[in-house]
Amino acid sequence: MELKTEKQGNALIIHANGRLDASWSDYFADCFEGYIRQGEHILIIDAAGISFLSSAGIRSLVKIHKELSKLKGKFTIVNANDFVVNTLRMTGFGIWLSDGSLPSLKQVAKSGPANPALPENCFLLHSKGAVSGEYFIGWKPFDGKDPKQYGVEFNHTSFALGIGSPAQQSDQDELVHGDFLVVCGHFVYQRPEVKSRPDFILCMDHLKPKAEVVQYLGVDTELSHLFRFNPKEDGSGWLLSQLAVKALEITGSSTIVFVILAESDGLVGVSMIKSLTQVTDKNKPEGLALRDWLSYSTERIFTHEQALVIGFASRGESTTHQTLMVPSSSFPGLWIHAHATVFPYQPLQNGQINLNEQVEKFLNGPPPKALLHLIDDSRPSSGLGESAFIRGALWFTPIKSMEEKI
Amino acid sequence: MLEIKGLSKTFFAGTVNEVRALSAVDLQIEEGSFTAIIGTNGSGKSTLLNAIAGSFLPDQGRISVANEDITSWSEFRRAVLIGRVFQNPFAGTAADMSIAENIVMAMRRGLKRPLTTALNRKVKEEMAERVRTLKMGLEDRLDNPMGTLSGGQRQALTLLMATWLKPKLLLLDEHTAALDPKSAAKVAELTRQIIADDNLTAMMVTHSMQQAVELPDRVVMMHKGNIVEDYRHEQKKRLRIPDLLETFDRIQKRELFDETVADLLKKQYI
Repeated sequence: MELKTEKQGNALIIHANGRLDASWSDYFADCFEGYIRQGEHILIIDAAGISFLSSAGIRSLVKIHKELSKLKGKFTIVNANDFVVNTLRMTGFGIWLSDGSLPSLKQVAKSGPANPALPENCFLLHSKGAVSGEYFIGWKPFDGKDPKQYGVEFNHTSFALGIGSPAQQSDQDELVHGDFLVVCGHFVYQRPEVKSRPDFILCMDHLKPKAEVVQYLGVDTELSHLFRFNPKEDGSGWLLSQLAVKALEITGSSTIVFVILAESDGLVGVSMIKSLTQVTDKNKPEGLALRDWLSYSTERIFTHEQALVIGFASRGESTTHQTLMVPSSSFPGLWIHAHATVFPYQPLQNGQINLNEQVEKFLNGPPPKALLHLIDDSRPSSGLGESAFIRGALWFTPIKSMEEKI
Repeated sequence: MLEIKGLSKTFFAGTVNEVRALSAVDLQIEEGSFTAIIGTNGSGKSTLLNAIAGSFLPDQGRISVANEDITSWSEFRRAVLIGRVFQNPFAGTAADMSIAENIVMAMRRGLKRPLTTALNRKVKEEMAERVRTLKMGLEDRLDNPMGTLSGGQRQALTLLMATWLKPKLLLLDEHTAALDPKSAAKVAELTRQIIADDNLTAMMVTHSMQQAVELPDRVVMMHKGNIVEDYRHEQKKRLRIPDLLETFDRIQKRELFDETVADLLKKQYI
């Protein structure tokens, strides 16, 4: 089996040559999975060179069909010989066949962005403008003081990150502050323990996640913009700071909240294995002792998995909320704070997609693998750099001010 | 059954090459249990096995088997209690002797006058009977020199020989590592079978996560001469390969966490 591809408009034409039988069906399906992963969701199979199609071959086509229909994509088979046409018709899969040779590509071409003022692949979801956010600093690491807590309840328009704990469920339930993130009200938190895994509370109509936070950046809004990104022309992915700058540029705002759902090109981050809020003057970790408290990725991890990131970015003059952000090493004057969680990879539908639906889909699937406080590792020579992303979606909204909660 | 207390061993002590291979290891193995020992290279797995077998004397600590303190026993004296299979298929058998001669030595192991019994017909029949259980056709080749067999066949025979007299303790040191995948799977299955049938107490060093998860009823993970994880009972039952890989990963991350990382994180955790 030989597969050659050719791009035409929004569609990818695959010229297949050989027998689509048991010995090639897995290879065939794997290749198609690769095309889908690269964002090709409209596929035209030029079957002129397919001399034989067995049930195993049909099985692989069904698999591709299922994968594509989840993504609202489709495939069509053209130029098939009589044997292939008859086999498909008799097995009830005649709908995959196209009567013409190549279908008119105009049908599949999507209309461009609704708003000509926006760059390509950018969608304006609503135009309510900039919103106000809030931040809370009830604790600072390593100063040995007892943390002050602030109780928050999240709803479907909550976006937040910080250090905190799910609110107490019972008297025996002890609060342990760890890194958390909130996207569309869904609360993802990792209890700081050696073998800990991220846990989450879905935001539902009758169940709103509640947390006690000691450090907090949050907004209550619907995100206004969506930018779909692909690898750049040289094949490289997008750095976290590059995506933040893109969002700042599109909105023209000096502060934004953003959410990234994308295939990871390697994440760099840290998670707590012992809650830093338990640091006192007596047990303050000096030097290497910090590794009993924090686990650092030490290499770029979770490459090609699906990352869900929430971040706040700010640029320009120093403001007080920037105390919860870290200066970027790539862009002078840019400040970022971002948390990420990671899911097993699943392709995303192209075009305009709904954030809440996507996040619910991932949270209802296999459990998240990790929760990381993302780090910009600019150590000379041994630094790992920043987290990066290959392909995915970036939602964001401008923030006009951040109010401090006291 | 096996009790190890505060076992320490440092190689090349006082030189630049000093290696702390075991640092105060405590381990108790219950009768009839099958324990896998895993860990990175140089973590002290084989050293632990060798210390139990008596290949060297420990610097500190105590080893007892079946309530008998064997710490100062010589290697050959321990052989009465302990059966061993090594990684190298050529290490456990004598290549120039026939299969039957090799097995006869195993049958007489630990006895005062080991080779007085001649290889008579009755002994050979008993031998063939047990060799047949390997299902390798070796029962018809008992007079062939051991050196003519493949690694997989030799390892299977070594295993049979090591367990012929039902040792109190069976030590397996990466005994499938040098075999091709198919032979390795076969020897692993044989190991499981023999240990289960004879209800042996066994310890197995392995780098195969699959074997560690599937064969034994307890998994001990070592790192830098210490036992860092001990999965048993319910914990072992739910143990899967990804859990083990995660633990390895966690240990490695901790290892790579150096002063520069500590500096970086102090600045970034705000």
